[in-house]
Amino acid sequence: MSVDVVIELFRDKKVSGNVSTIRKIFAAMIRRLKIRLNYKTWMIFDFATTIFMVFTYFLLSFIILPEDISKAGYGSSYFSFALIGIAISHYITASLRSLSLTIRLEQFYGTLESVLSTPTDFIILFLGDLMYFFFYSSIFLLIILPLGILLGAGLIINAGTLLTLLVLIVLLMISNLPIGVVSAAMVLKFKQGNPIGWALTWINQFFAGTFFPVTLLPDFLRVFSLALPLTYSLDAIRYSLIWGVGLLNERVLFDVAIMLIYSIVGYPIAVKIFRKIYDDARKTGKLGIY
Amino acid sequence: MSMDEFIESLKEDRKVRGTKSFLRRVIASWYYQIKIYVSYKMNLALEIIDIVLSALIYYYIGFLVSPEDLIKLGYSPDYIAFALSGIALSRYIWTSVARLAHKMRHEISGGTFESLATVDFDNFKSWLAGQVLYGFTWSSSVFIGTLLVGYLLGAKFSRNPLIWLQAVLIVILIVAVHSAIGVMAAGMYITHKQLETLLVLMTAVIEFFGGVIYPLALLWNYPILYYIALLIPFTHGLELFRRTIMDETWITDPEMLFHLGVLVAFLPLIYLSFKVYEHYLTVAKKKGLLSTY
Repeated sequence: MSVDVVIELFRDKKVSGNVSTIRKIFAAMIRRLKIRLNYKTWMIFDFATTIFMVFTYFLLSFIILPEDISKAGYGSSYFSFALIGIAISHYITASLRSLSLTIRLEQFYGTLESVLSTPTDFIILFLGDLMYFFFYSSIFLLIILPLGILLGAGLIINAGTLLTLLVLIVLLMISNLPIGVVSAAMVLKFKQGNPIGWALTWINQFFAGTFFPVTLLPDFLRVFSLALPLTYSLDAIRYSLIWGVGLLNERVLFDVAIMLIYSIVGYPIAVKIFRKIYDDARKTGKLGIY
Repeated sequence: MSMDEFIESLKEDRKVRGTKSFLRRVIASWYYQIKIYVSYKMNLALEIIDIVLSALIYYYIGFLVSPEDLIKLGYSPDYIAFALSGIALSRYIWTSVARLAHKMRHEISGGTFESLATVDFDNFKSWLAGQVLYGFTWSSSVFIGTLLVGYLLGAKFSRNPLIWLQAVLIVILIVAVHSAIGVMAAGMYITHKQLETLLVLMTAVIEFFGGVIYPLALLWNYPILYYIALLIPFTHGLELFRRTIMDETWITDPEMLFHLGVLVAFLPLIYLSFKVYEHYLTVAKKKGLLSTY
């Protein structure tokens, strides 16, 4: 009897129809949130390190010349520029690393097989996790932006820019998610979670210009910059909050279009790669090995 | 039979004790950790990428920094050297302060800490020393890597071998002082499992107040923060290191002597740290808390 036949025999198509998909996603989100709330000191640590980072770049901004920031089109305040990078860094981590981190932890604690062998599709579990990370990262944003403004960051906050910010953050997560899904697939394949996540975060932070404008990069490196969806996400969010413009602004609209292309093209490819590696791991019995 | 007598009766024969035996166990503890580390080749490759990219981020931030402001604040105008010396040295902080507790969490959650305890007969002194040595080796490789990338990017570090000898001695002093905090914390971790997070937080606090990527003089406008920074040994260590490799200031300079004096004042912590560790280990053994997490 082949492995495919064995897997087919274990499948039960009838049991999964009673619970709605939205409820399942919500349940997956609550599951992750409850785990997080159990580790209160880690939450305090997360918030404290981000706040220290804001203060570090606030102090650094005193010795920074505004010319290059202005040339890149982001006004004259380096602190405003860096603050936005820090404020949305948790969304970046969420879309790039959350799935691989989840898989790595489940692998490590021996619960991955139990979670993935339920009749619920892994995409639903991923979406639940992602919603949790969106919620968690939003708390950071709500703390960091007012703190930055209190320290003197020149951001324009009104109903229009807040709505634009919300749309751009959702687009940021969706357009960067394919990279995160492929990274999760790599964790399943190579059983090495953290290094891939770190490298992805550093690569994105460097090439997308989280802490300096990408216009400083030489042409041969800017090519990599232009290939990353995060470059456009950061540009749109910065441009909108620094100049107070909405989605209809030409520059923001261009960034939105690029992010949409990345989402539409990248997501099916990434899911296909993940499904292939995931199915291989299930067939060969290597799902829980780390 | 009391608990103390019971533990004593299970101890290994005294004959295996001695300096030579202790050193062999230290090396063994260091070596097995190195073997684990090099077996993750992809991890190694990605860490090199991390080093290069983090150095490059500060290289490009360096284009934005005003050299005149750096001079006004008492440093040479080379921001890349300034930032990378801070980044390189800060790599020792996590390994010195938090890695031991982190390692113990892994051993405990992996169920191997009790196994270590059953073969231990010097209250983990050799195991701890080996782990501290491993932390030092790992951080040193990242430290050297960061400084080398800095050199390649044009950072103006000193090329005087004697100055570098002074820098190495300063690094050893910094690591010794901070490892004492780490050993003490690892002991407390055995009975207080939430401590690891606080240690990581402590690392972030130390790095912030130490002025890793900004000149400490910027804190003069915020006197409370400035005085807190002065209470942290890393602040003094980083100032000593930076002045040494950037400005070639000798240790006999009065300002350098002040920073050195503060660091030396923390040295008795090393002795105290092993005592604290032993105390918590004994408590955990008696209460059966070694493998709980």
